[in-house]
This record gives sequence, structure tokens and C-alpha cells, in this order.
Amino acid sequence: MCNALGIINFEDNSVDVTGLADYRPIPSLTFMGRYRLIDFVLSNMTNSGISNIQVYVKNKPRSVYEHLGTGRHYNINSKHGKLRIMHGEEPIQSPIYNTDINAFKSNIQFIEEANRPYVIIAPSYLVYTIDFNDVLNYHIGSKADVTVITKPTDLAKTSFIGCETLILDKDKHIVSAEANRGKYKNRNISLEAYVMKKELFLELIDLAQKTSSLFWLKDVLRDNIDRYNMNAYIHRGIVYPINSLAEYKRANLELTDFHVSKQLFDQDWPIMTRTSDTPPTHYGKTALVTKSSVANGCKIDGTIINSVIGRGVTVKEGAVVIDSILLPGVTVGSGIHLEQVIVDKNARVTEVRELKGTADKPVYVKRRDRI
Amino acid sequence: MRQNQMLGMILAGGRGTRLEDLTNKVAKPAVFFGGKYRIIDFPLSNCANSGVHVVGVLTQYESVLLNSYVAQDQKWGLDTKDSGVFVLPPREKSDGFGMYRGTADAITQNIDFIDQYNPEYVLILSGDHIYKMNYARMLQFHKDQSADVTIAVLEVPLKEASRFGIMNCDENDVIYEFEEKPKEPKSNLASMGIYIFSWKQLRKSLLQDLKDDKSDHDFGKNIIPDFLSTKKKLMAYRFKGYWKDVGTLDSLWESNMDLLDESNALDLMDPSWKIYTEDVAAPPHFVQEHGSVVRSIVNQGSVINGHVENSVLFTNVIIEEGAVVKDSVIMPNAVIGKNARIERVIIASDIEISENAVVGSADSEHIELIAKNR
Repeated sequence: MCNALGIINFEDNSVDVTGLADYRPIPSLTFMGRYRLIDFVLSNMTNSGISNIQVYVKNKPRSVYEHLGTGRHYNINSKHGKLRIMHGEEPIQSPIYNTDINAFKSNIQFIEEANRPYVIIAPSYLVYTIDFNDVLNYHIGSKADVTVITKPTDLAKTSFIGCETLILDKDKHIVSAEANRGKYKNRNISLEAYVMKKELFLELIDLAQKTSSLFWLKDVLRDNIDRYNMNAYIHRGIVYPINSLAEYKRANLELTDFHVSKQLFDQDWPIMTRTSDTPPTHYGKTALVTKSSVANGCKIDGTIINSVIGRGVTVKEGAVVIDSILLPGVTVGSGIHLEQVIVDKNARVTEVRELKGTADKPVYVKRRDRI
Repeated sequence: MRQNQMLGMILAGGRGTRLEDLTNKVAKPAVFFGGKYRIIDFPLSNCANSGVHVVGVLTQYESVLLNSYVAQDQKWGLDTKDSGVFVLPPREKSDGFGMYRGTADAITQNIDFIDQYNPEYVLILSGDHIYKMNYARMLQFHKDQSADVTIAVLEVPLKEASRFGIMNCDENDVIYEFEEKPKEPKSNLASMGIYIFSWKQLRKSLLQDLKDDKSDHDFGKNIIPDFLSTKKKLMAYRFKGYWKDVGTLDSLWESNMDLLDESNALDLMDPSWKIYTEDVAAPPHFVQEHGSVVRSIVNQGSVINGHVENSVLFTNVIIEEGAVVKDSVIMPNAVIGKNARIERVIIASDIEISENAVVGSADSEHIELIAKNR
């Protein structure tokens, strides 16, 4: 058992997954045609033995409530454990006030009441797997005030744009922090996942409020970098930031390669989700599929190359799908050619003959659209 | 306790000897089917979808896996306050330990369980048949006909009728005679082993049967004949649709192959009558660079880098590069090694087929089974 309160935080406005995010909050984004983003951080927490978890939602909470339910499918015990979905209770005068600090503040009594000495805070827009016990033990051993999970990357010129980068000294002590503008190749990316004592967390909420009502948790930490002892915990595994449509596409398509995805999907560290009781996928005589991942409940009779096929998708005979992502419930009619396209849930592509995007600018088809 | 209208009782004690090594360590109802399911998911899902909320499952042979499997009743949504799936293996009683001596005896020994719910009707099911059926409609028929027992029947080809228990009926589908595997069948209405009894009547008949030393304590051999001889009203309820008793390796294979036909009558894709099963945390399946799949069904977690044709792949199956799988059923966690050739084979769960192995052949008379020995 992990002696920490788990807090799943919401992302700030540097995360902008245009299109997909118009219909649901970031934690509810469909991933690999089967998961929602929040499944990763939540499974990390429950697999680590964290049994008391608070999920903070910025907006549009319906899909989050529906997906998480009591949390039983994430192994959260309905008697001893607790999964709470939190949102600000006070009216928000303007979207700029919709910060994580304000949401924590309006639920402060539930944080105070949680009978755990530590808090582990992590957002859901970063996809990776980690054992939080290792981080907590490292934190306790290091005697730091705050431990920040950090991913060293050599992709910072093109990826992790807008994420916070950390400058570390040789003892992995955090010296300064700034947003990644894509200027350098090698950067240490903050995964915005923090371990600290609960008292310090409460102190930081207070401090943030006193400084500026627009402050986010990461602002107050950056602002007080010299005041507290902050250390980086280096995470070596793969991490995908889902902070833009291009990153969403890159993550999904890279994971169609089993050699990549097996770094994320380990039978001993299961990523759990809500089941929808769909049958296995049916391939017809004319199916031609390669380098792709396919969720359950699909009917495949067409050609699929290097794509992610979501649950319950129909690809008719003569349809061609290349470098694309089809979200659950999509239908692609016969003779349709899709390349570099992201088709949102339950859309039907049966009339337009061809849609072609580019690697950087995939075409996005709206949810439930008919084209 | 609130009165329960119709209680379900599933007979799941049978071994299924003709399934050979597949049932060494599990009873037949727990055998895998259809890429994702176990056979007993079908009657249990039918119960859940028909509004039969309390189900007793009578287990006996190698019941450890089956007991733990069905006890997690949330799988079928049967976990509200008023519902549940209850595992009922034989138990020690004040007058000794009694195995279930027959299908009827299994119910007799659990009269106390049924009485707790005080049901008006009891639905008796078999745990080893593949079909989708709305038992609520059958109950309505039972009530409309004021029957004492209603038996679901399937029209089978007359030349195959001698393999089944046959119900001989008048023009109103009132059963006047029951013949077990008749040499010269008079009718083609085969019993599906699905009965709705009015509980008071059945209870009386079971207690009488218990006293009869010569009885086999079997529904077909004893209880139904007793209802006939005492002039009770027995009705045949005609079922139209897919139904299969997967008693042999060949028929298990065949019913898996039935699913490959896109317009198959079982239609697992129908969202209005889902079949529920264990929720396994596995990613989607992956078709890799050298992989190809035609006319097959594939479940989540599988990784295909060889050629798969006319086959059923369960959860977390691995088909390595160059392997060819044809007309076969590959159960969970099996690995087919590089360049292996598999044809007309059932591969049991957790089996590893080594590189370059050749198993089964296109013209074999029977389906080959690769499973762990006892």
C-alpha cells in the first residue's frame, strides 16, 4: 500500500488538442481506440497501491463521471478505497480563474481530511507508466521538499512543445524552469507529477492564492524554486505528451508498432479501462491490414495501413485507410480513401471520395459527422 | 426477502469427456468459445438480458475455476442488491456428504436455496450450450398456456433427431410423449434442456423422486416422465435461432467457425443482446508488418506477424513472423512460433508451438487438439 493521497490534476491552457477537445475534456480523450487518457495515470496510481484518489476536472465532467464510475474497474475497493471526482464549487467569473489551485482551494477540506502523509499529483495528458512507490521512496530518501518526475528527451525541438523544462544541477536539484519553445534538442521535461508532504501541498495552495488568483500549481512551484528544495526523479520509460492534435496522432501511430507499445502495455502493469463488452473484431475475406492496431467489435473488409482503429469501427470493402486514426464507432464506406485523417467518434465517411492530410496537419472529421 | 418471479438454475456440473484434454482441469461450461467467451457466459448473459436476476450455478466436476469465474457476478451486471449469481457445489449435510447424483438431484439438494427466494417459477438451464434466447418471452408463453412445465424445443433435421431427446406433441404443441434418443423418431422437436417449471409443482415432484431408490434423479429420465404420467400440462416452446451443444472437439471447432460467416445467426455484434464475459485488461490487437488476417475473428491483446485465415484468435495470442494459421482456434496466451504451420487445430490456452512446427492437416478427419496433458 502506498501511503499517499493520489491527485489527478487537470492540464493548463498550454494543452490544446483542437477538434477532439471540443467534445470532451482531455482526461476523456480516446486513446489507442480503446482507452481514455485518464486510464494511464489512474492505473499507475491503483497499480502502485494508491487507494484514495481525487480526480480534478476542469470542464465537461459528464464523460469523466460516466467512465470512472465507482472506480471498481480500476481496482479501487468500494469500502476501503475512495475515488472522488472534484470540480470547483464556486461560480467562475471568467475562464482565466479556472485554475487547478482554485479547484484545490474549493475542495480543501477533502484534501485536509485525507488521512495520508504524502500527496502524489499527476495530470492525465501525459501517457506513460510508472510505479509511484519508487518515486515516493526516492522522495523520502532524498529529503527534498518536492520531487518532480522528469523525462530527459532529445525530441524537445519538435515534441513536448509548451511543456515545462527543468534545468538541473549535477545532484538533480532543480535550478530553474521554463516553457519549452522548441529551441533545444535535449531537455528535461517536467511531467508535472509531484510528490510532497500533504502539509507542504496545503501551504503551496495558500501561497499561490496570496500571490495571484491566476496562479497554477506549476507557477507557484516555479516562483518558489529557491525557497524549497526541489529534486528531479528521472523517468527513463517512454512518455507521450498529448498536448496537440499532432502529438495525439504521433503517439497513437507510433504505438501501432508492437515493439514500441510493449513498453507501455505490460501484463504485470495492466492499463485498466471501462469495458464496453464488445465482441472480438471480425475480418472479412477482402481485409488487408498491416502495421495497425485494432480494438474489439470492428468489422474490417477494407485496406488498413499504419493506422489506429477504434472499438466498433466498420471499414467496408474497397475502403483504404492510411496513417489515420478512426475513433470508436466510425464507419468508412466502400471506395473511400483516407490518408492522414483523424475521424472522431461515430462519424460516417461514405460520400466524400478522398480525404488527405499531412503528417503535421492531419485532417480532422467531427464527431457524429456525416460526410 | 422480496419474492422473486423466476429464479434461474444452471446445471454446470458436467465434465464434457469428449472434449478430451480441454476439460482436464475445468468443467465444460468453463471451456473457451468465440475468441473471448466461456460457454457459460451465454446462459448467464441470457439470464441477465431476460431479467432473470438471481441465478444459482450448480457445479461439481473440477469446479474451482468455474466457481471463482461465475462468483464475480458484476461481469453480467447481476450485482445489484436484488440480484446475484450463486455458486452451488455439493455440500456436506447433517445426513452426510452427497454428490449430485443427477440433474434433478442437483436441484433437490438446493431446495433450501430456492425456497429462500420463494419464486413462482424456476428456469432450469444447461451450462454448456451456445445460443441467445429471451427467457422472459418463454415465461410469458408458459403463463399464457397455463402450463405446468414448458420445454424449449428446436426443430432439427429428422435424420438427426435420433441424437436428441425428442418431444412428441399434438397440433397445439402440447407434449404427450418424450423419447430419449429414439431409433425411429416420430417428431423433429428436440429438447434444448431449457425448462420453466412452476416451482410448487417441481418441488413436489423432486421430493417424490428423492424417495425413489430406482430413480436416476434426472430431468429427462424421471421428472419429465413423472409430469407426463400424472397428466400435467407440458408445453413445447419453439425456439428459432442458433443453438449448439458443443459436446465434441469437432462441434466446438465448428461452432467457432460458424462465427466467421459474417451473417452468422448467433450475431455477437448485436448491441441489443450483448454476451458479457470477463473484462481482461489487454490493449487492442496489433497486426504487424508481416502480418495478414482474412476471414477471421481476433480478440484484444493479440499480436499478429504471420498469416491468419479462417481462424479464431482469443486474447493475447501471439502469431510470430512467417507462421501460417488456417482453419484453427487459438485460445488465450498461446504462442505460434516462427514459420510454424497450423491447420484444422484447436490450440488450448497457454500452449507454445515451437518454430517451424507443423500441426494438423487440411484433410484430417477430425480436428486436432493441442493441450497440456493431465
